[in-house]
Amino acid sequence: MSEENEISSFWVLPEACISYIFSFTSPKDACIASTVSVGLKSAAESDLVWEQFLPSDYQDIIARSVSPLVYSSKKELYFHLCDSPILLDGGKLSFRLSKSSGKKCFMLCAKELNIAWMETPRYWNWKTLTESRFAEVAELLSVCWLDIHGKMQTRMLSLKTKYAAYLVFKLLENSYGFDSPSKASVKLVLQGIEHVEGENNTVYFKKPTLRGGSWIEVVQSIYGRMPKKRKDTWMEIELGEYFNDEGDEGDIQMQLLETGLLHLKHGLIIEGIELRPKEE
Amino acid sequence: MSSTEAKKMVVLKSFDGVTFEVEESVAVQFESIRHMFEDNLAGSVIPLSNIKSEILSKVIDYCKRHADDTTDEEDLKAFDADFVKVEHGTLFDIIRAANYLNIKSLLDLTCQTVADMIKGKTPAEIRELFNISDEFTPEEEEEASIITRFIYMDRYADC
Repeated sequence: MSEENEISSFWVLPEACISYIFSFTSPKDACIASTVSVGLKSAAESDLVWEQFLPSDYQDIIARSVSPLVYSSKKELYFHLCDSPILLDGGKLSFRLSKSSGKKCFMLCAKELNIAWMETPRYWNWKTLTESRFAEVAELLSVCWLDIHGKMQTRMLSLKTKYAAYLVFKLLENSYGFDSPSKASVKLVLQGIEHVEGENNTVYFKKPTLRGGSWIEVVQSIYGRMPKKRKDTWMEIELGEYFNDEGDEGDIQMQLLETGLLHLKHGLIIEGIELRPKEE
Repeated sequence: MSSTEAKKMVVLKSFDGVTFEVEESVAVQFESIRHMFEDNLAGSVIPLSNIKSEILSKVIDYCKRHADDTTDEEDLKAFDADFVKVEHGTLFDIIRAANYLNIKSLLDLTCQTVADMIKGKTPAEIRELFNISDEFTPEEEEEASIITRFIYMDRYADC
């Protein structure tokens, strides 16, 4: 068949067919295609394509948004949800999409977590921070026993997706007591019964200072997970992973514990726990 | 034919005047023209004025294979994989026919095939793939290249 024939037969496809083809690609491929030519731009930007890239339950989710969303196309909505997280359920939960895959990311605010002594003002203080997406964050005044956990229903997450949970936090200049390792885990709980799926991880709020430290501490710090800086000025530690296959109708339990060495701690600010897809 | 029973047949006529006799059990997959032969119009010829005989014959082949309950899933997968190994022009014609006749599984198969060709390609490669000459104006070109840079640098990095 001649080249001429090939060209003409692609362009005689109805635009809806070309859009349908793009709906089988990815957000990135569709964006790239829309920079190729005027003809492709219109097909690759159609609502038919971007509706496919949005989560299947996106309408239910945005109906829970604290402030109404205004958008003129599905593509605009997609990027709005990627670039600016929205608050759901009266501000308890933050939601956004992962840019490359369109998969769902959630962050539970500190108030929605279960933190030991969280209601005792001597130990934990609740305050408003401009850099927080939530109304309140938790500030640790003084505790030895650090126990933070959060729960999320697996059916809210994207299917066939490996998620990781992250504690999002900050350490104040004058913080102390965070040199020692903590234990972190992410586990599936089905009808109240814990599945021993997730492993226990050793994590650190900050790089251990090895001043006078033993070789054991050096080795431990190699095997432990260190915190990372986020783009939004907060820090995060990965607590563990969970593969959400069929959305098993259970809960994921995410936990961070330092109840072993019981050093007195001060100066930790908790934003929340984020669950987002983990890229391979 | 293997069966001696009289089967209800549907007659289709392509754009270039070739007629095809198809068992009704196969033709029911042509969603958009189903009502024509189900309304007791047996025997009359259904004209498909925008499908060439070469393409119609392939589409009928596909539907025959998919109507056959005795084919196991693995064989069907192999058949599908072979079916889309055709020149681009033919593939686009099949998409158009599947769209016109509203055969969902065939439309999905062929569109997925083209989508797989597009995935991971650069704008230049896509241009070459579809032989696209419909260019942007220099201003649009500039805007497009800014968008592309933006996509690569920022949009696809998560926290």
